[in-house]
Amino acid sequence: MDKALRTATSGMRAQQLHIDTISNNLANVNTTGFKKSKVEFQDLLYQTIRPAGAGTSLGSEAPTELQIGCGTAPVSTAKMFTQGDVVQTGNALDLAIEGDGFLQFRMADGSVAYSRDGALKISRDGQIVNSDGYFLDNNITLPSETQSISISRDGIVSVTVAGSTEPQDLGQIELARFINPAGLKNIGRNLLVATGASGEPIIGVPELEGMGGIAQGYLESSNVDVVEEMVNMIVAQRAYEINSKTIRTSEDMMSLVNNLKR
Amino acid sequence: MIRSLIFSSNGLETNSRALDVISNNLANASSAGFKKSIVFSQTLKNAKEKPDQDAMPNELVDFTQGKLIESGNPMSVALVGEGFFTIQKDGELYYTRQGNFSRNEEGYYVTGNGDYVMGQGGPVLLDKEFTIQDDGAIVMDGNIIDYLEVVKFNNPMQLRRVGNGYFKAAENAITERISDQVQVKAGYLEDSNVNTLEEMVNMIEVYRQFEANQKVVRTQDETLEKAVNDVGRT
Repeated sequence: MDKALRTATSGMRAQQLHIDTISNNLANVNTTGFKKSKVEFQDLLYQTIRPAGAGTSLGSEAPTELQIGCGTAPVSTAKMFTQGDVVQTGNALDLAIEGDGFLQFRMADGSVAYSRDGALKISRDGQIVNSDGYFLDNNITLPSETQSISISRDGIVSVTVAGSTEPQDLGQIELARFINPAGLKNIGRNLLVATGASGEPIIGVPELEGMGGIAQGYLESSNVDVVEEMVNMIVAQRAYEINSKTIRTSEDMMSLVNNLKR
Repeated sequence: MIRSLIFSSNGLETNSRALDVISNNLANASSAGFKKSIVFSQTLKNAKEKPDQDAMPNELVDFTQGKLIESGNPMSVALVGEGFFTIQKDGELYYTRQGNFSRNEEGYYVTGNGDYVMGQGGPVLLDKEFTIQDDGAIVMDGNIIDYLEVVKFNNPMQLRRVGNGYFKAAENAITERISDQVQVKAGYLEDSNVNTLEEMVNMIEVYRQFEANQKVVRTQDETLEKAVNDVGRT
């Protein structure tokens, strides 16, 4: 009975984490390129009270065993890399990736971070950067007299400069993809970094070899589905509640035991 | 009269074990691939001779299919119908229905706990992009490199839970490789098969039974009190 108390506590703790994750998903419903997370749970160790095959007092063998579990525990929070809605912004430096792939950014320490957030800006030196000022990895520098930028679906950046009608190619935006994107580590600020579990990045040109295409003037919104999250929240809340009921039942039973002898 | 006291205390014991099992089912209502346990009391045959034993509850794992939920992760898999994925942990084989698999640092296909997921030819190395087909085939560069090792047990009662979503088979368990007749769904997870409503009803039932048993104990205590203190008093 006191085991039921602890088991139910583990259930409540797990559902609390479930709600924490849902709340983060909901808080990021308007975050560009945000990918929702999902918590996964699994059962804990089992205590075998009586093994199968144990002799009973009647001389027979117990056909099944008596095993009592100790509750549940979270095992992972997996990011779900489904496509978010692509929203038109009209800004020439807003890029959305339709399909697989991440933009690569060079962080201040020289390492590379990956992102689906394509809200790009121009630094004072004419370099293409993200909102935190990290350089888009391949270092495209726009000439100071740039009048218009166009980025093709396959990632070629070209500009027209003042006094010229001929567009001028500046370079190629490459995308990275991973064997196991769920293994990428979140570092916040819409950025992810590669880990051993994600594997080495596979770098390639947009629209080729399974990479997604680049849509200029669009942003990918988060893939959080508010209705789904609400439903999950209801489920988590009810599961929390029912585990608390277990605690109450267990407590009531203990109080009955206390009253066995007046 | 003492014997009936023992009956009732056995009842109390059985009910509290049943609550332990129900609470574990409820706590795992969101664990992928979890299979609920059912408690039932063994018939009290020969209870007259041996009232103090065998009134123990029995527990069975209910292996009914849980519903499939989309996971959005192509590495996670769910089994439709019978069978278990085979897992290798510290050189030993385990079985699971929890398919929240991923990839470890060396590139092997592993479970959420980091143990190897077995193909028919041993651990599966995923060094390139891959897909998993409905028949359990792992396809890389257009070639089938392996099939997921899926086995079924003639008597699933020979499986013992060891936690983390794993089952361990008894040494004499008869397994049958059914890799060629399974349906594997990549990008899905099998939900727990716990029905919270049903468990709630069971919990109420257990609680009321417990209460009744407690009442019986008290009544017997009162009767005994009468017998001890009042009978023979002049």
